Amino acid sequence: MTDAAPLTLDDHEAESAVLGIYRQVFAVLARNANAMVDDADSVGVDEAILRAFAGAGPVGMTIEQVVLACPNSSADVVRRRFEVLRSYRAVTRVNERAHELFYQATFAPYVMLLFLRRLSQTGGQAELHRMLSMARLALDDDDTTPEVVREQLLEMTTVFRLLANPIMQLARSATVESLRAQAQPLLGNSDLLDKARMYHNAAADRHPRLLPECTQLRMALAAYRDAVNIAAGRLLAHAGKTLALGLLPTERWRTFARDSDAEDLARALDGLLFDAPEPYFTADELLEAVEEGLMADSGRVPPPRSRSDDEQPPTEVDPDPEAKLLAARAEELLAGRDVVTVAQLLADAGDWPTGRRVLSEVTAIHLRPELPYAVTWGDGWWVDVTSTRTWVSDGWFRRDRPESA
Amino acid sequence: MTERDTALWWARIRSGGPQRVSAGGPTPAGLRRLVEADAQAVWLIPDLPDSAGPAVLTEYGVPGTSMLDSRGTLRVLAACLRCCWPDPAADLWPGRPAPTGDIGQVLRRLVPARNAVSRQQLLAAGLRRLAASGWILLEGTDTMRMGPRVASFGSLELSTLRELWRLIPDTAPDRPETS
Repeated sequence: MTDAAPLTLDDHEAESAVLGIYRQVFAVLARNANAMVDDADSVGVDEAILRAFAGAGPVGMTIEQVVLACPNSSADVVRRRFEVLRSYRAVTRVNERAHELFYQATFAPYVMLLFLRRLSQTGGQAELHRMLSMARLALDDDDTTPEVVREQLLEMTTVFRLLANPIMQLARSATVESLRAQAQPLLGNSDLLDKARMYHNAAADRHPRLLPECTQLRMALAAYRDAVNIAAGRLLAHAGKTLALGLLPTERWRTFARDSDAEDLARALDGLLFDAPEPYFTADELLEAVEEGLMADSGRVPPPRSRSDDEQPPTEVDPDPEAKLLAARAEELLAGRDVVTVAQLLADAGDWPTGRRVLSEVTAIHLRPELPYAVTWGDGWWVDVTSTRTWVSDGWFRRDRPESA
Repeated sequence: MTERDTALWWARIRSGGPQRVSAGGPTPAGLRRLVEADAQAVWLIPDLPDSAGPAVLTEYGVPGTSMLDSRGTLRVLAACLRCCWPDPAADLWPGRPAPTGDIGQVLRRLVPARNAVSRQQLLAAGLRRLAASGWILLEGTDTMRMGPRVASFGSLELSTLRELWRLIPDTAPDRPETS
């Protein structure tokens, strides 16, 4: 986008819509010419060039004149687009000879451009209506051969198939949000279906030989109707009753609510009768309320207080009885000594289950920092293959950290 | 009176509460005429048997129409009853008009925990709500009387109401008949 700054988001959206259609149609042509349409400006430049040719009269224009006639675009862009247009013969030389400077434009590309712009704005349904009308006219014309009708029938079949497929795909597997966003332009055209059905009936009446093609068209129509019904059903099921009122756009409701007076709005409630506010009081309820009020003589009830200050606080509870047990056990293991090796402790314990318990107790005592005992481990290693403990690491259990006790 | 007219009257009462008509008109089936004190107009209220009244709703556990601050509103109604019912031996309807100031005085005993401002708010809001649903009628800015709906209390409930009447102390000393 060469000139992005002054564009609003809406402009950009409109342009990209035009571009989308344009790209679909011209991609093949333009790829051959090595010039894919890559921004919406190019479309505008094309239009400007063709308009310049329209104003030029039968003489035609040279490239320089075209560049001059398109002052809004830079000369390079105009030249490039001119080449592209020439390559798909939208612009041709006035006389087919070497060194011919004057070019003239053909009308078909401009018509195509107009068509594309409108197609992108209306989603193609208006064009489809016109096509149907024209096909109907052609059908009634006596000069039309059955071959032409067959071709038109096939075209219509293709169109409706193409119309039905994306709706069906959206209705089946897309999220409801994308369904709502994309399917709305494709939905809700029952008169299109009616028109197509009338065309089908007329064709079948007039050319009984074309019944197979008519059947194809009828099936395509049915598929389209099914797709629309399924999509609408899914939208309705998701939106609930209120949003589903004919699938009108929200703006329509908003406008209605804003523009109508109170009478119009109230008419929606015609035929409905509402109960009067009619609370019923029994005499007992009355009596109860009054008695309650009379009894509440003392004014406010004091808020409930905790009863903690009434009773004695509980006697001193030992927060950690295990510490005492462990300390006693440590004294027992040390047996008056200040330090004892772990190997000695294990040897005192005798068999392995007892030794294991001693080991766990020693570790537990060590892991309590409030107890003044500790285990330190060294690098040494005692090996005794005859004992139940074939090896013992160097370690000392000691009375320690007297200051932290 | 045709069946259609009767149905129409019932619909009117259902959607608009008790209906006030001029004294000469006919009475649709199933409705009761409630004559005003001056006999110039008549209220039409549904004449339902006890087994078909609104009490059936509570019997079946169906929530009826709710009312904002129903306790406070009930106390306001009780104060109105006390002031507008000069003789509990007689019928509740039509009662007599009472100034809202008196009702405020009675209400003061019924809601002792509230201060003056809050009580005044309760009184104004309660009177408005009760008037909207036809329990009381506001006359002018500071007078009210009982509405036609109080006539739908049955005899059993009336005895409860008499008890209630005696329960509420009267604050205005210049009423010899309420001793």
